[in-house]
Amino acid sequence: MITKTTAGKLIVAVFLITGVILSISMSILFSQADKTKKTVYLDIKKQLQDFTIFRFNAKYWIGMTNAVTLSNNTVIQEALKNNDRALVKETLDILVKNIKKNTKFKNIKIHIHTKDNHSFFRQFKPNKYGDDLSSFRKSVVEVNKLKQPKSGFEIGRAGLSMRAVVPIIDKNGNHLGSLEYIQGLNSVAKSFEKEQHGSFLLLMDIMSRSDDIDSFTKSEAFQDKYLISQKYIDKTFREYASKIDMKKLFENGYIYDDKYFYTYVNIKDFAGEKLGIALVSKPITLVNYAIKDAEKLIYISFVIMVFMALSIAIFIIISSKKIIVYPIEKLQDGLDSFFAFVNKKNTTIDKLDESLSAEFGKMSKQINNNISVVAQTLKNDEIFAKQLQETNIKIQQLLDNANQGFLYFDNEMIIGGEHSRVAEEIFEKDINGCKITELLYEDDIQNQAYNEESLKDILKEDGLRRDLMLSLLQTEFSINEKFIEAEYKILNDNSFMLILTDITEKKELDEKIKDEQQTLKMVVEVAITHEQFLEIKNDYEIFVKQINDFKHIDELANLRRYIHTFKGLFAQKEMLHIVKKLHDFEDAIDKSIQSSKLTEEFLDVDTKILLDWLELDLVVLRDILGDDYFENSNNISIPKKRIELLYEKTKHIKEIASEVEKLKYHNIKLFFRPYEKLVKQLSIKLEKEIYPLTIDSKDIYIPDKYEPFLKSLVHIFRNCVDHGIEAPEIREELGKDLVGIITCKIEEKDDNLYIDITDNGSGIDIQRIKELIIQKNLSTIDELDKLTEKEIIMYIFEDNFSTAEFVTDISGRGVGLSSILYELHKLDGKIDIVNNFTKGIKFNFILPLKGE
Amino acid sequence: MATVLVVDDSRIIRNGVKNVLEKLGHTIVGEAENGYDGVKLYKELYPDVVTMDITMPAVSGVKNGIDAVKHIIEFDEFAKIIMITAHGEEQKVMQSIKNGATGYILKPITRDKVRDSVKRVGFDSDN
Repeated sequence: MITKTTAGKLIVAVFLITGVILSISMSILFSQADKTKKTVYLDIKKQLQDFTIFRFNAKYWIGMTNAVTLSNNTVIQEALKNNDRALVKETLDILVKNIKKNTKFKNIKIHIHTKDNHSFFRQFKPNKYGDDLSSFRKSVVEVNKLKQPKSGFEIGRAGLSMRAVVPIIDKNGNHLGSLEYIQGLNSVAKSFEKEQHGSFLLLMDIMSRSDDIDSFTKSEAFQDKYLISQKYIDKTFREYASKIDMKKLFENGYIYDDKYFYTYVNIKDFAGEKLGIALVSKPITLVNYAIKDAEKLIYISFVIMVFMALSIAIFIIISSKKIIVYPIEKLQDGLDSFFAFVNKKNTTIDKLDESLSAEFGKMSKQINNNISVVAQTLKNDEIFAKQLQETNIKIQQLLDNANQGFLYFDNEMIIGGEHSRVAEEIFEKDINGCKITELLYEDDIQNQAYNEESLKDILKEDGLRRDLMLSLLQTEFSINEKFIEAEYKILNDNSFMLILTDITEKKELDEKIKDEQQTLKMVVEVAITHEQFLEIKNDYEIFVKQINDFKHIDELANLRRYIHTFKGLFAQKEMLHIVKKLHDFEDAIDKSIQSSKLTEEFLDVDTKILLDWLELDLVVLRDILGDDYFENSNNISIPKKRIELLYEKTKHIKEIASEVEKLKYHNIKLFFRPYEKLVKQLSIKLEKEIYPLTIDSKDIYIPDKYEPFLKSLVHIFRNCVDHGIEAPEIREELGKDLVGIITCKIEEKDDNLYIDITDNGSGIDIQRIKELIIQKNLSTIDELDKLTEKEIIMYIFEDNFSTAEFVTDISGRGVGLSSILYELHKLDGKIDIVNNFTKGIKFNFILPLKGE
Repeated sequence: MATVLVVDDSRIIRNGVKNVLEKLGHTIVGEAENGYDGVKLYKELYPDVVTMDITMPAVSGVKNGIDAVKHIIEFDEFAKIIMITAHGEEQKVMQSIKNGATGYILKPITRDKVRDSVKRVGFDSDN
């Protein structure tokens, strides 16, 4: 409906207002039109009255003028004096004849009275005279009394006429009588017809007529109250006029019927007494013309007004359309678009036009701002919803595709609701409605009951105790030949979620890793304790050759002891294959012991089998360390290539990688072990008494690059034995312990490696060194005096310097100590010597380990 | 810091638990080598915490650690009892907890495990 829209309402409102304005102005106009009509009536009334009065006045003065003129006529005066009526008649006849002939006044009458108010001569009725007029002719009485002229309407024997009465006074001033000039009103009536297109009717009030009414008998009566006092009568007019409401005429001053517009003028005598009226009229058509002229103006104004009002209304509607409706429509469009967006019919939002007029522009701006916010919110919501949906899909996919099975079960252990595909795959059946405990503990009724009870109890607990009890539930199951890891989650107080993970592969991988780790452990252990390993291997190989010697019931205990020992030794080397075999063999021996007879199992084991058992591990070791690894007992380190290969192979396994990394390093003890032998052998050769060299060190692993330096230390040990420790007899003389001591202490501290080698031998004779320096021309006495003891001692590390008196095959060629210094410097190492002449010497080597 | 009663039939385990607890700053107020003595000592000493071995010889009607827990809880329902247990004893631990035990330590006993368990029953350790 149109009225429902703002635009429609606006249009209706504008038209309503316009209508109201128009009807108000119309009523004003029409009342104005009414007024105009009245005004026109009054105008015409006045015009008619003025015209009448003007005519009356003209008559008045004509009457006066003629009366005065005639009263001064000496003939008339003489005739009056002499009572000569014939003379008067003669004179007046000529006069009246001439007046009638030369003027338009055809109805004039002249009456001369005596000074005692009697009729002297009536020009219009010469035979009637002598009658007393004083009873009804006030004007005549008045004039004769006051000797002053009087004029006006008066009723006489000739009816209502305009009468001018003047005194007749001769040249001597004698008052002779009076002269009356009587005029009819036909000329007035005629002039009305001529000039006003109207009519005139003189009406004498019957009430005011004199007692003598003879002269009026012929007069026509008018509406009973009046007598028509005029000869010339428009008959049509008389007919219409006779029907008008006289009372209304006197009230309003005018009246009209369908032919005439009537008004009147009062007729009064000179004394002001009312005698009748002059009824004057104008054809109503003429009056209506005037009215129509006046009304035409009003109608034109009305039309102009209507036109203007409509124009304004249209203008308002058009402009309001532009100012209000258009922006509202724009707003509406914007909002439509916005809501279309909100309702997801559109994907974009059209912004509102902010260039609209001030208020709408502001509104649009606000709405736009809010739209932006809402749009952003909606977009975010949408993104969120999308993400949520994606997440749900992902979760479902996870549930279905993850290597995990999900299922829910209630406090009666019954599986229900959603569960993932994998969960079914694990149990290999439709699990809905099954009892979880029966699935997990298929044939174990006791465990079914225990777990059901526990799970129910867990639900009754909370917090810490709940967690505690959950942690006690079995988490690994073997279901359908798969290893399954289970995790319980409590969803609410009466149901559980169970997450099942197939860890079969992981377990297998773990096993594999464990195996490899085990192998590596063995390799590393063997490599590190290479010598010891070879010894054990040799011992075992020798032992197994004698196996048959033990195949006797009395030897079983011994055999078991041996086997047990070897088992322990190989276990130290992490050689688990042979350990397992030996363990089983031990069991077999035990059985034989218990049964006091050699079992089949036991007897089957011969040398070859025992060697084969060892071979199980050796194969692995050879594979990694190289075929010739066991051939050369002097091998300390595994060939680098082997290590790299091993490293490449195992670097993805974190646990093993660190073990393998160790293979690149060597236990520092390994490098010092030969020095124990060296010291022992040298002391025998040089006939010195020395306690076995002790290497005080933890397992410190160092890289290859330290090897040359550590090997060069052989010169220090040689020197200690050769030059340091005195011969026993000398030591005895000196009061020293006959047996010398050489110690070696290795320490890792603050990223440095400290190697201290000490002997309690003779120490260095500084004086002797100085002599040798000078002797070898290496320096001068003066220069040496400036040096500290330590600086002087450092000369022994110079090339070709030897303090020994004789070069032996053990030391003294002077190249040994210098090679230590050379290797030490390569490693940025330092040396410090604490010399105590006759008491001993201490070499402190400091090697940086940082970054290794 | 807590006062602790150690109940275990193995002297070695008792000493181990004692050592660790003392290093953590707790005070050992008593030792018992069976459940019966444990319950008796608890009533005498009112310790903050009890460490309880599960498998112990039955003495005077107290069958084992699980039973001892029941007796102690009957006496003091707020007793803090930590079970000392090994793999494979889960069901026994479960029973102990149902009887009122508040925690358990799975052998081998380490300082971290003991610290955590004692903390869980409400006592901080010194280090």
